[in-house]
Amino acid sequence: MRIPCPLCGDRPLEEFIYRGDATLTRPAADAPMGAWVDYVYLRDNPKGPHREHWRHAQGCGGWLVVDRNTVTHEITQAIQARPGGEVQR
Amino acid sequence: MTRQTHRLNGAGSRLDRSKPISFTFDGKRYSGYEGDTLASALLANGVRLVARSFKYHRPRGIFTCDPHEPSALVQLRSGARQEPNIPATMVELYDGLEATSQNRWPSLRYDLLSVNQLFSPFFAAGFYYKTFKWPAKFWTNLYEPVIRRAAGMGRLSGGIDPDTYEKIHHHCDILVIGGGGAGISAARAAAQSGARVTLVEEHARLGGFDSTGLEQDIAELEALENVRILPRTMVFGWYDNNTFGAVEQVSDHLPVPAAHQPRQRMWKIVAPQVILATGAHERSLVFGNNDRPGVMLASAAERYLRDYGVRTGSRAVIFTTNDSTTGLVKALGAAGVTVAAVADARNGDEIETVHGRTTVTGVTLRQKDGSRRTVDCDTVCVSGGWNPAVQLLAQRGQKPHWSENLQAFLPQEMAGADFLCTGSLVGLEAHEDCQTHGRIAGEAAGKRFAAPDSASLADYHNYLEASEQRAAKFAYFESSTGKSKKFIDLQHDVTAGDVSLATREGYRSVEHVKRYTTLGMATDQGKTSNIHGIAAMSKALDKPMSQVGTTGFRPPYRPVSLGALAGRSRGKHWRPILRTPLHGWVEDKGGVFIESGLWHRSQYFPKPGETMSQAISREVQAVRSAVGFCDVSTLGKIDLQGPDAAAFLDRVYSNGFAKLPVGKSRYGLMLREDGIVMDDGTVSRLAEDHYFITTTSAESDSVISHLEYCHQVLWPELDVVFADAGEDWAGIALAGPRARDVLARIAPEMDVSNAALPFLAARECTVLDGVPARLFRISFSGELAYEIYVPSPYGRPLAEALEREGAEFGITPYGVEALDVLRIEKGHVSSELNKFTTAADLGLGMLMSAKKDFIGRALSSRPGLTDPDREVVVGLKPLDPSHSFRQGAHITASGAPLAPENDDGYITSAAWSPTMESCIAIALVRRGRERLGEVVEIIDPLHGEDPVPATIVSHHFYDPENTRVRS
Repeated sequence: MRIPCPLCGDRPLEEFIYRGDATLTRPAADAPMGAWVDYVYLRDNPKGPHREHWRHAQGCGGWLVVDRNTVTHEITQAIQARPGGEVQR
Repeated sequence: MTRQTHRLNGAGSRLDRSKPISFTFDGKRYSGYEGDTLASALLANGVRLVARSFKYHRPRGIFTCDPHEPSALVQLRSGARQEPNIPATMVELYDGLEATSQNRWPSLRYDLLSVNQLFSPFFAAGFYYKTFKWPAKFWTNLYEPVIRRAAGMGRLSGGIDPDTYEKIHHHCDILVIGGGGAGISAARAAAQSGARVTLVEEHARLGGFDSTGLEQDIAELEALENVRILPRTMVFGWYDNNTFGAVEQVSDHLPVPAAHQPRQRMWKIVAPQVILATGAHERSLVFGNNDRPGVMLASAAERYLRDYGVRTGSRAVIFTTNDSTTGLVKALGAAGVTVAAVADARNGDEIETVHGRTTVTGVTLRQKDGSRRTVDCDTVCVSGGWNPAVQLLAQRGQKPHWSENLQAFLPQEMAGADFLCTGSLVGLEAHEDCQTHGRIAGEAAGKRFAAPDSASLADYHNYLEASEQRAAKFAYFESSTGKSKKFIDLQHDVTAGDVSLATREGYRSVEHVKRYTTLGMATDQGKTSNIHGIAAMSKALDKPMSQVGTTGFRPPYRPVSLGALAGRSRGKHWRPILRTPLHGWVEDKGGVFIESGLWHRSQYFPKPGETMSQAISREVQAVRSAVGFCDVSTLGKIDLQGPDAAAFLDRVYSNGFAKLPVGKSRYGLMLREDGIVMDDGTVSRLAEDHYFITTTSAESDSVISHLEYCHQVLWPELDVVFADAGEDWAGIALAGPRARDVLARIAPEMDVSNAALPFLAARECTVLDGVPARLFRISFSGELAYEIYVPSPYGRPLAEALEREGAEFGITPYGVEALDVLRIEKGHVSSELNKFTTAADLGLGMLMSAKKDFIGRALSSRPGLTDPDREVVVGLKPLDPSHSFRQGAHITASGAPLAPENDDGYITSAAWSPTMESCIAIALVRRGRERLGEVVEIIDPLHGEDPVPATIVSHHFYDPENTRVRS
């Protein structure tokens, strides 16, 4: 698999580490315990499109938001996770 | 040396007759020519029996002319280069080649284990499952060793592979897989677009089954500057985003690799467009004794005649379902071989059974009217049609579809956004068709290169559809009568009867029948046989071929040597070595290294005649009584700056940092979001907006990654920047009651007094006449101590200066063993941070700030992590100081039976403490803090130790009042 890093270009899978679901938001400090359990443990396992966090650990070090199809591994978008990171190549 | 009895005068387009070659098979010397394969040379010498089969030890000969040969597997070379299970058909002959037959005893001709055939009822489909069900313990001791000896293949030498292997990454615009007629045309056409084209071919030369007439095309292709040709290279896998794995056999055709050349080279090829021209495999037919030496694929017999000038016998019978054998009939006649009969299944004729024991002596033909006749012959040439080589496409998840017209499984998709297919892979047969369609495919790929999505594939698809519509192949797979064994899978000895039995026993899925009978699971992955298994299932289940379908295919297409996968990553190159800036100095001091992750760290510094434990005790005592220094450069180091740096630290550490004054260090505890401790270290504030962080050696990378996540994803609004400074700084811990005296010598311009430089002071200063340094008064040993960081190149000069300036105070270098003893004596946690423990477990609950949010705060309050029954950090001391225990030993209440439910915890760190003159340990013990003073038993059955009684004590063995660090 190859991931189009917005900073480094098209790079092979071995340079990246995977984290998981990028659509989760860290709960507020006073959120109930249930919200925290969902945030840390509860994950869907979608067949098809998935938005996820990857880090270009062996490259720029940047955390990326990658839209990947879990069936075909097609990547439709890869942007930097930080705001203003929508630079796309 | 024997004469090449079966070599034809003059013939053999691949041979160089001016270069004779000598080789041995089973110790006997033979001759061949340059250009021969081992198979062609054996055939030229009249050698027909070359192997014994896997299960029944039946005699086997050479069946194909290709690397997917099922029968003629040999053991190649000798000594450390010995390699088993190599198809003789893919071995290019070199002078001095040594090959031996395998799976036979005592000899190939008289194999005693061929009695296995007599017991074949026991070896039928699923015999492992039926025969060896119980008792389970018989498997490892009896069944498996016996079966392995009887049903074996070749053997490895057991020696270390003396050859080297390389890996290479390759990028091109268009990759063409397969250098037959179609692939050559496709590559030439694709290259006209200006694209960088790479053509990969499994064989040593281009041209496919029949390169006659392609010489000019090949020469022109080779002359193109934008075309790279990789011969002897097999694409074994097609992975996501058009990434391909291929193995180039750089030196396998040579006695030994040339100087500085690898034996094989692993290619990782990335190409936005690929043209598959992988060809087709001729298939056999299923009839009695169809595995006898002398039975051979028709195309193989033709190629041995044409390319190698070898006739495989003098009287041949041909058994065919199609027209591809017409050329063979002519060629055999021209070579003086009598064609005794042609059994054309289309006319209702078939071979019922083959006669002969170790070689073909004749066949019984059964004619349409049911009459039989016996024909004497020494060769049987079989053609059951062609199987497109769809394996790579199937790796991508394609389910090949059955074409009635072609009587073959074709690619489900003939083209995709990033691939095109051509040649006999898509069912084309005639040379002209392959070349024409190859050109169309190449042009389309070229257009896609020039302008993506621009190419119309109308011509491409129309050509294939017209070709398939014209085809009318005859459906025939298996002779209808006969009692002899009819083999489907020659390499795994799977017969038509086995498949039929499996279906009678209720197996319906092709995947299940495959596993139950082991059909197609041998090294050739059933390239000549799978189709017949599917046909047999189709017949037995009365289901059309299309509904039976094919099994899935996974990489590799053909076996790949482990050496090629490993590449250079073997021995000491298996993984990188990290050396600290003091590495050379430690070596010069005679220090012993220990591997810790990727690091090679100084373990201890033995003096002449000293044992390891003596050296460690001496080093510990030096630190306790005088002064020592230790390389701590492996600690992770992060330089953090920015106006929001304090806020950032407050969120990633459990304890507070907002109030840490400039010029002070503080211990920090970092949690995971689930409440478990991730790492610990120190944070030193060098300026209002500038911090220097250390992490543990083991977690430095993961902490950086975590902090990057926090910064880039969670809180991008915080204005901070940080850099991994791990390699920038050499670090040395200077510890002991005389540490201040030594520091004063190396930093003479600094006031090092306790008042000016108190415990936890942090300074930027200079040492050694102007070397910039970062100095922190922090202690891991429990003594007055400093950590001194200097730019990496100054690590060694600093060590030398400490040794020189500290000599009069008795300075002693110490390694990580003494470091560990010192911290266990002091009761600092380290290996207790084992990804199961919370701050409270570690006795660090006071570092959980209640005044702020931080990573891990919320979930650390869940019931499971606050259970009073949890195992928490305590110390252990044996009642008898002469007793000892080890890390990993478990703890039970005194007198409790040895049972899992009585497990009260385990030892996380243990050491002989020269200071306490006793073995001591840090342990995680259930409700440990409530049990101080209790006598428990330390059990270590894995090491065969008797239980040791020990007292639970505070883990702060040494200086619990913490006065020495402040002195």
